[in-house]
Amino acid sequence: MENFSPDAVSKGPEDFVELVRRHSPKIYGLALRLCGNPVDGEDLAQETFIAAYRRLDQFRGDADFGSWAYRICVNLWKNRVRYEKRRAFWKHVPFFGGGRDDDDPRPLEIADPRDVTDAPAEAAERRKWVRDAIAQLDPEERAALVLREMEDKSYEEIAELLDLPLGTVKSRIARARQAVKTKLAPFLGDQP
Amino acid sequence: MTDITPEQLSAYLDDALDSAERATVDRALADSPALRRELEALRRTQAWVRELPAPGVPTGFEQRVLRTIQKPRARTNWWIVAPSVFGAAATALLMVMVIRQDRPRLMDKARAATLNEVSLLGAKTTAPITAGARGRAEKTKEAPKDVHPLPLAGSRAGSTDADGLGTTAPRVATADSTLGASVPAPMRRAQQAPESVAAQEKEEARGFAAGFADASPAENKTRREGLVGLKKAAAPSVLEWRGDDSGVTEFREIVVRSEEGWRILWKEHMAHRVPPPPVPPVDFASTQVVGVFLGQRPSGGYAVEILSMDGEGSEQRVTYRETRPPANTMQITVLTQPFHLRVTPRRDGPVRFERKK
Repeated sequence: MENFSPDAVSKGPEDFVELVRRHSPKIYGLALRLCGNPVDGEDLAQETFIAAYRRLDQFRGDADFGSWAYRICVNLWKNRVRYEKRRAFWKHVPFFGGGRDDDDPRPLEIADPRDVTDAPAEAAERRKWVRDAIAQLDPEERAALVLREMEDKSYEEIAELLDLPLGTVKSRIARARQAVKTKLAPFLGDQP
Repeated sequence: MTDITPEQLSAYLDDALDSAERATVDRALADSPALRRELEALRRTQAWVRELPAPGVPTGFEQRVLRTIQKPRARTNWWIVAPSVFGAAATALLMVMVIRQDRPRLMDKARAATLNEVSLLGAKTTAPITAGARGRAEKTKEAPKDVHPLPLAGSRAGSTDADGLGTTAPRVATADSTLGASVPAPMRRAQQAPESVAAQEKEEARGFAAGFADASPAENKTRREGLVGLKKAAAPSVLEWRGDDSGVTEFREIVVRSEEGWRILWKEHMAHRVPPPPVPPVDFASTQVVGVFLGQRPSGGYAVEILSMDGEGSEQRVTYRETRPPANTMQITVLTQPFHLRVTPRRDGPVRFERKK
C-alpha cells in the first residue's frame, strides 16, 4: 500500500474520496465479513472511512493509510460487538445473524452474493452453505476465522488486532472451524 | 481416537505448532486414520472458506461516504437547548431548596410540619418572660437554675454542649425554684377531631397535671383550675414542637426555664433555617420547656416522642420513646435530626429523663 499524507486531502473531502475508492474493496470486504451481512457491512465500512476522515490529524503521514483504516474498521467492529452484546443481554435477542430470527430480512452473506453465475450447481450451493455457516458463527469466533482464512493474518496479528491472548485466538479459530465443518457435513460425507 | 485436541489440529493446519507439538501430532496422524480424516475434513472446510470470492463494493459507496463527510456534523444548538437546561437546573435547585426547607412535611404527612404546633386552648401566653438566663459564654460547672440540660447517661454525665444550654449537670437536673402556680392546660393539636382532642386532653391531663403525685391535692386542684383558666383565655400559644429537622445534631435532653436559655436553644435549633423563625414566646413564670433531641440520623423514619411527665418525690420524670424505621422499609435518604420539645408546667427541681423501650 502506498504511503499517504494528510496533505492529500487538504483541499477538501473530494480528495478523500479518491482514497476511499482505492481502499474500499479491502475495507468493505473486511467489514462485510466481520459483520456477516451486507447491510451492516456497508454501514461499518462507511463508518470506517468517516472516522478516518475525521481523525486525519491523528494519522502519521509515513504510515500506510490502508493499514490505518483497516485497524479503525476492526476497532469499530469491536465497539459494535460490545454494544450489541450489552443490548442482546438486555433484550435477549441474537445479533449479527448468529442464531438470528428467521424473520430478519438481512441476507446471510459474507462474500459476493452475485458470484453464483457460472459455477456448477453443487459449488454454488456449497458456497451458500459456507457463507451461511460463517455468518451464523458467534461474532468473535467469526472475526477470528475471517481474519485468519480470508484476511490471511497470522495468529499473532489477530491477537494484536482483537486485543486477545494468543491462546484465545487459537481456540476461537479452532471452534469456528469445527462449527463450519459441522454445518458442511453434507458436503464432507463422501470423503474416505 | 487420540489425545490430540481440535485446537492442536487446527493449529497444525496453520503450521502454528512448535516442533515438539508438531511431532506429536505427526505421530498421532500416522497412527490414527480417524484423525487423518478429521484433518482432511478441516482442510477441505478451510479451502471452501478461502475460495469464497471477495465481495464487490456496492455501487455508489464512495458517493455515500462523500455525502456523509460533507454533511455538517450535528452540533448542539445551545441557543435552543440552553433555556431548557437552565429551566431544568432551576427547577432542580428550587426542589432542593423546598425539600431543605420543608423536608419533614415531605417526609411524613403524619408529622405535618417541622414545628408541630400545638395550641393551648384559648390561651395566649402574655406573661412576662422570666429572667435568669445564661448565655452561650456562660458555661458553668453547676446546673443552672433556669436551664437544665441533661447528659446522655451516667458515664457521660459531665459533658457539655455548645450553646450554654448544656452543662455538667448530672443526669437528674436540679433547680431551686418551686413549681409555678399556674399550670398550663393540656395540649392538643390544632387540627385534630374533637373526639381525639378530648382523648388527648384527658391523657395529657393525666400525664402533665395529675402526674405530679407529690403535690398536694390542693396544689393539683390549683393546677387544674389554672388549666381551666387558661382554656378560657383568648389566643392560642405554641406549646409543642416536634419534627426531624433540627439544627441540634447531637443527642441532648434539655430543660429550659428562662427566656434567655430558650432563645439560645431556639437559635441553635433553627440554625439551618434562613431566615430563622422568631423565638416563640413561652411564659417561663409558669411553664418550662422539656425536650429531647436525638441527634443526627441517617434517614427518615426516626422519631422521638415525649410520652408523659410525672413526679416522684421532689423530682420530675420525663418519659419519652425513640422510634426507628422498621426493617426492610424504604425511607427518604436525608439526614434527619428528630426532636420533641414540650412546654410543661413549671416545677423547679430535678428532672429525670427516661427512655422507654
